[in-house]
Amino acid sequence: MPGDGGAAGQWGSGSVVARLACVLRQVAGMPDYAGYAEHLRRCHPEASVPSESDYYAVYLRNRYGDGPTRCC
Amino acid sequence: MLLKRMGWLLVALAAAVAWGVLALHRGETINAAWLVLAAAGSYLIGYRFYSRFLANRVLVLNDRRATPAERLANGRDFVPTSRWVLFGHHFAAIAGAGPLVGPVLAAQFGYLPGTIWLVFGVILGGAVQDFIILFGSMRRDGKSLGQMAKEETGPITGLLAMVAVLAIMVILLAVLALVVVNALKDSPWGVFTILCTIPIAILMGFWMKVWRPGRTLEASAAGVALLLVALVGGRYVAASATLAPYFTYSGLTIAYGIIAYGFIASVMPVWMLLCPRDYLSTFMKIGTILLLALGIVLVLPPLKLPAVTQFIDGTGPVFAGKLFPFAFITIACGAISGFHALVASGTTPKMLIRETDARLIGYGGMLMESFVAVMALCAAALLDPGIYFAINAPLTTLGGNVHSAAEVIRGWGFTVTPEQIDGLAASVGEKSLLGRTGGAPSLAVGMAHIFSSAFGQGLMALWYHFAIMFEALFILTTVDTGTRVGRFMLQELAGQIWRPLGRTSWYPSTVLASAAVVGGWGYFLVQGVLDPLGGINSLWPLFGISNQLLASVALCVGTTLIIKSGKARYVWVTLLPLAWLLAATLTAGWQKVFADDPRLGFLSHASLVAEQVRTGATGAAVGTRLIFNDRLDAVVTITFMVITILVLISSAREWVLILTRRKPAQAREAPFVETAYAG
Repeated sequence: MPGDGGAAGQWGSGSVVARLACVLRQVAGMPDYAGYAEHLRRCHPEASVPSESDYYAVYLRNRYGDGPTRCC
Repeated sequence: MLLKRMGWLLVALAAAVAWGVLALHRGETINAAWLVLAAAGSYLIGYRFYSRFLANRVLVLNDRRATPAERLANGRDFVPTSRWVLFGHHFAAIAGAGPLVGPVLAAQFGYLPGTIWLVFGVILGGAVQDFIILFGSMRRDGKSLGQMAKEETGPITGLLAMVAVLAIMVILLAVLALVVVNALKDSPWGVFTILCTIPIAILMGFWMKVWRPGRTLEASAAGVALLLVALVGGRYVAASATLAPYFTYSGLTIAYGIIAYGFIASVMPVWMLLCPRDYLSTFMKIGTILLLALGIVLVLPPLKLPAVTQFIDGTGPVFAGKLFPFAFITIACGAISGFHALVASGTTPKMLIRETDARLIGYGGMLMESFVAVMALCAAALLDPGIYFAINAPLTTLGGNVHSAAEVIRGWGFTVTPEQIDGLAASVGEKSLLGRTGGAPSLAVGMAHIFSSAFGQGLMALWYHFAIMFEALFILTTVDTGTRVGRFMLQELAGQIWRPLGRTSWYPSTVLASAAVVGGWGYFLVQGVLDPLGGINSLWPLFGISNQLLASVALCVGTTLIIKSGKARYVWVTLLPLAWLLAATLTAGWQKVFADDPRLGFLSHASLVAEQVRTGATGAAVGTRLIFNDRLDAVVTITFMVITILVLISSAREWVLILTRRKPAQAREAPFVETAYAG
């Protein structure tokens, strides 16, 4: 299932809403499954693409796993 | 070309005129426009000229060199990100409660000292630190400050930096939680709204993970909408005689509630509570800050606080201590903040597309944070001074009711009537605003003034609680993410003693480490709530000192990086702010421990309490606790000072070895790889 406003977002790619959504997601540091899948297809065609929930688990580990990501 | 130069000349002139007006102005009020103009003009000049000098001469940014985001792109953390988006991301990560609270507390000295320190501190210190650490981490594949300290200066420095960060985290979380406690005590409206954020976040968590995986924005939009419903609902709860008592709690009860929450949030799965709250607070933060900027520009309120108050002599009621050094540690975030070095060596360096983007994001991002701090200062300074002190002085000083408070404040030379204090509290939907030390309530009153003048009169109470909700929401997000980070750091340290303790997936170790971190900040929080001087007086300086000492550590690392890259002739860019910071912070630390004034010095306060116990003025049990806390605070302060001095000594040794050519000047940067991007 695609994420909202990603490369293959629910509003269709390229529209103003989709681009705004993309900016908001990047600013908030939200996961980008579509972007990750795209990266894998392009750079590592031999690797299998993980499921969205597997990807989310890894994302959370990365984000909250080490070091402060927020300031005082 | 000529036109461009003329433009910069105009900006410089405008800033100079605004500073002149600020410095020479004599009169009842001054318009906030002068303050905003002086700050913004100075930032523009600092960015255009000083940061360009740093980028071209000192750091020598090179766009031909591929960044980690390009070389190590993995679609997860190493993601090339366009520079304005990354600017927003970095800004959202560095701007927290610090730049909002510090300037409001320091407003007891008047608006001028804080403004000068914020603007010049950031241009010459804070933004330089953020920029250099971001640069260093970018050249080292996104390594953290601790790792850089370890690799460039030695393992002991690395270990010291790690211990320092953990200790700072504990103090930071305690003092921020105290700010929330002081804002929410006896406030059913505030408590209801904040309690609602927990089920809202859990709902969002299930939405994003279980019901509609990946729809993070959709869930966040719903979350923000529900939050606003909860905010409006709070008014009815507070007005209802049956419901209000269920949400009215003393400071101590709220403190224990936050401690329990912090523990649960840190051992719960992150997707359920922590991550959704994080998104929620990011959007609220960015939205509210934009709204505040817009409001200030639209309203341009007159500032009623004097430029400088008599409290620069150290007798201030909000916190004790003279202008030097205490203005410079009370305002940490916004001028220079060591904590940023952790963020600048975290996610951001892994996302830069081009090396030159580091200038906008590292230096420019910090200027932006400083501007937020200036706006917070404006929001506090537009209050009547009498009102400002009624909200921010501790209850014990004010005598506990509006009549005694008005009397005490008149004694300081500011006029305020009991009716004014009561009237203001009623207009924002609170029973009392007296003694709500910590910055959040007075900032919220200031913001409510601005918002209601700009976007709708008569909604004062709603705007006040909106501001309180926004501050409490992201402070509590710092508390839960911070507890988690502290837990990881503790596990890493403990793992060096007994291996199984270091396994973050081992449940007993997780529970144990979480409990230890929560217990640590929880202890200081409760100490602050029970402190007869109003805990901010002891805890905020402790936090300021620790944050500034971390900044000193970061500047030491930055200096090492500059010397090792063969740019020793430019070493003053980090050494000057380092010298100033050490002078201010070590003086403040020394005074907090050893000053004779019991309001200021921990040890003299301990002897005062001992005397009171002897004469029977204070009970033995309470006295013993107070004395223990004073001594603990003294030990913590001295520990911070010693760690910093040790880091300074080991760094200086390294500098001398390199400069006298006994050691090669070799920075451990990742090897040069030519970028594949065009242009």
